[in-house]
Amino acid sequence: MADAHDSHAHEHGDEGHGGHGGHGHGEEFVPTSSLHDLTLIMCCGIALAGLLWMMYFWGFSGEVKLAEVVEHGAGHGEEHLPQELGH
Amino acid sequence: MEQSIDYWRQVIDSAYWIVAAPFLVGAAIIVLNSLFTSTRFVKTLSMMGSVGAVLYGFVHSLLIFYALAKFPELGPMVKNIPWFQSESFTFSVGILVDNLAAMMLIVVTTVSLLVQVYTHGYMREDPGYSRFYCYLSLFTGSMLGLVVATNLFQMYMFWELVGVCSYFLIGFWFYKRSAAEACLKAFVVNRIGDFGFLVGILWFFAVTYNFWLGHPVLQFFDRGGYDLAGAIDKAYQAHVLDATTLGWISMLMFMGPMAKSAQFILHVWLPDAMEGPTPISALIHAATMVAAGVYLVARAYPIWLLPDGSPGGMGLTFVAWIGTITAFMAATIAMSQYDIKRVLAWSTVSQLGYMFAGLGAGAFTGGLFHLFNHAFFKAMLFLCSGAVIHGVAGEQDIRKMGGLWKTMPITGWCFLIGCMSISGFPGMSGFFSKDEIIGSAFAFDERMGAVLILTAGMTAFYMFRLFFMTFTGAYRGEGHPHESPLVMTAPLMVLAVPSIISGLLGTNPQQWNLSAIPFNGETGKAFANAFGSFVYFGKPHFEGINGVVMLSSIAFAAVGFAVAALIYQTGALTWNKSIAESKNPLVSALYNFSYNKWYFDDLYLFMANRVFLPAFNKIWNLVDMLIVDYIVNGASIVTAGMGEALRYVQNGRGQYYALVIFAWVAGLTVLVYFLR
Repeated sequence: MADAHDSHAHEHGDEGHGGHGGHGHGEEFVPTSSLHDLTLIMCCGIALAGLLWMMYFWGFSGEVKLAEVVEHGAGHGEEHLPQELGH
Repeated sequence: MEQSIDYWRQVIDSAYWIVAAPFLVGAAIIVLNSLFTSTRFVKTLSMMGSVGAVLYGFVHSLLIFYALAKFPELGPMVKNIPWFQSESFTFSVGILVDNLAAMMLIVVTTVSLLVQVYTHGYMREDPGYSRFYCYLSLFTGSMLGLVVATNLFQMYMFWELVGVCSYFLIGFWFYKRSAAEACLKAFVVNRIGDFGFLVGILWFFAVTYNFWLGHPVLQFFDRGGYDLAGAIDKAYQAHVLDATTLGWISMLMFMGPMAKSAQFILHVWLPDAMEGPTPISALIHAATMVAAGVYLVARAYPIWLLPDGSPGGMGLTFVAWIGTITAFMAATIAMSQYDIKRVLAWSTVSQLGYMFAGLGAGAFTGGLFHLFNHAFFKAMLFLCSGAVIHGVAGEQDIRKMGGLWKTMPITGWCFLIGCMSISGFPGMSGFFSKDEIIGSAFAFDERMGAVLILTAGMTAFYMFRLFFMTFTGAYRGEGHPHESPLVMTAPLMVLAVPSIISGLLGTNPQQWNLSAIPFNGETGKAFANAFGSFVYFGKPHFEGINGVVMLSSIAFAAVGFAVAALIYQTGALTWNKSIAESKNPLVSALYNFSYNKWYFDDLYLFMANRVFLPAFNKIWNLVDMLIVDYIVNGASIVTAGMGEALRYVQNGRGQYYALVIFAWVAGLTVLVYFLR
C-alpha cells in the first residue's frame, strides 16, 4: 500500500496534505515504509491492547465495583434528575 | 500487578511526567530543527520523540486508571507548589489526579497517539513535518496540563496555551490566505470567550476572597474543604454570595466553554478551523480544545450549581439550553453542506451541544460519557475523511466523490462504524451516552428532550447522507482513488474498536434484567453502570432505561437513516434536488438559511464592518483628537512657551545669576518679615 501511496503522492497539490507550500530543492521526506511504519504500527498495536484491556478491566472483569445506590422509581427517567447531585 | 499500594501511589504521584514529556519533546524538536538542517534523520527524530512522549503518557494514564480503580482510597491526589504568595492569599500550581482526570488522560493520550501515527503518513511530504510534530506535542501537553490542573488560574493558563497551539495548527499552512484568516478567526472568537471566562474567575475570586484563609486559592478539590464547593458554601453562609450572583458568575465563565467548545453564537470559528491539516482537525474535534470546555464545566461543576449545592440555578439552565440550541442549529446546518470535513465539523458542534445539554440537565455522568465515546468515533471519522481526501487527490467536495467503498474498503468500513455510532445505532457507543443525555433532558424539560430527539434524527440523516454520497454509487470525481497506507489505516481500525464497544461501559447487568430494577415509585437497590461508578459528581447514581425516550430516539434516527438512504442511496426520493432548486420562497429561504449557516458569518461581518468598526472609529477620533491630541499638543505648547520665556534668563553670566539669587533672598526676607 505504501507503493500506491507513493505513486499518487505527487497528485496532492491543492488544499490537501503535503505537496504544497513548495518543497525546497532536495527536500528529504520521511519514508512511509520499512522501519518507520513498522514502529508506528506497533504503537497502534499497543494502543489497541491498552484500550481492550481498559474496557475489559473497567466493564467486565468485576474488579471495578459497580456503585450500589438506592433509587426511587428507576426506570422511567427520574433517576436522571439533577436532584441526585450535590456536594 | 501484584505491587504494593505504595507502588501505585507513586505511579499517581508521578503523573506530572505525562504533562512534562510532550512539552520537553516539543522544545527539543524546536532546538533540533534550529541547530540542524531538516534532514530525514532530524524529521524521524522529531516524529519518534513526539510519538514516544505520548505513548509514554498513554501507558502511564492506563496505570493511573488501574491504580484508582483498584485502590479507590488513593484518589483524589493533589500536589501543589506555591507559585506566589501574598499576605492574604497563595496561588499554587500542581497536579490533581482523580477519576475524572484519569478518564480524560486516557482519552487525550489515546487520540493524540493515534493521530500522531496517522500524521506520519499524511504529512510526510510536507516541508513542515517536524514543525507539525512540535505543535502536536505542545498541543497535547497543554491539554494534559489543563486536565490535571489543581485550580482555576492554572487551568486558565493551560486553557490559553491550548488556544495558542490551535492558532498555530489551524494556520499551519499560513501561506494560504484562507488558513491565515481561519486561525485569526479562531483566535479572536476564543479571546472574546476567554475574556468572559477570566472576568468570571476574577469575580468569583473577589466574592470568595476571604474564605481561602491562606490555602491555595480556587482549588477544584481539597480534603480540608478549601476548594470551590467549600468556598461557595462559606460565602453563602456568610451572605456574601447569593444564587443570582453565582448564576451571573457561572454564565460569564461559561463564555470560555462557549468559545472553546464552539457553542451557539461563539461557534463560528470551528468549521473554518478545517483549514488546518486533517490530523489536527481530528485532534481538535475529538480530545483536545473542544473537549476542554466540557471538561471545565464538569471540573468546576459547583460553580454552575446553586450556592447550597443543589441544582436548578441559572447557570445549569443556561448551559442546558445553550447546548440544546447548539445541537439543533449545527444539525440543521450539517444537512446541507458538501465539504466532507465541514459536515463533520458541524456534527462536532452538534454533539458538543448534547454534552452541554447533558451536563446542564444534571446528567453529569451522561455528558462525560458522551465526551468519552465521541472522542473515539469522531477522531476516527476525521481520520477517515483525511484518508478519503488523501485517496482522491485532495478533493473535499462530496459531490465529486462516490463509490469509494470499492477502492477504500478499510476507510469505508471505519466510516460506516463511525456513522452508526454517532447516529445512535443500538448497541454502538453513541447510542448509550446519547440515550442517557436525552433521558435526562426529558426529565429536566420536556421541550429540551423533544428538540434533542429531533436532532438525533437529523444526525442520522446528515451522517448517512455523507456516507452514501462518499462511499456508494458511482465515482463522480477525477483521478484514481486508492486506499491509504497501513500507517494511516491502522489508527482507524484501532479507533473502530472503542467506537463499537465503549458504550458497554454505560450498562450494567441489572439493566438487562428489568425485573431487578425498582420501577415507578418503588425504592430499591440498584447499581450505577461501570462508567458512572467511576466518573460521577457527588455520588454515583443509577442510569436507568427510559423506554419511551429510547424508542423515540431510535425511531427518529431510523427515519433519518431511511430518508438519507432513499435520497442518496437508492435515488427513490429526489427531495434534495427539489429543495435546492425550489422556486417556493419559503423552501428556498429555509434551504439558504441552512446552507449559509444561519447567516452568522454575514451577521458578524455586518456587525464588525457597519457597527463596531465605525463606532470604534468614532470613539478613537474622539479620544485621539479631543483628549490625546489636546494633552500632547498642550504639553508641547506649554513646554515650548516656558522654554521661550526662560531662555532669556539662561545667559551664562555669573554676575547675573548672583543677582537673581540675591533678589530671591531679599524678596523672601521681606516676605518673612511681613508675614511675622
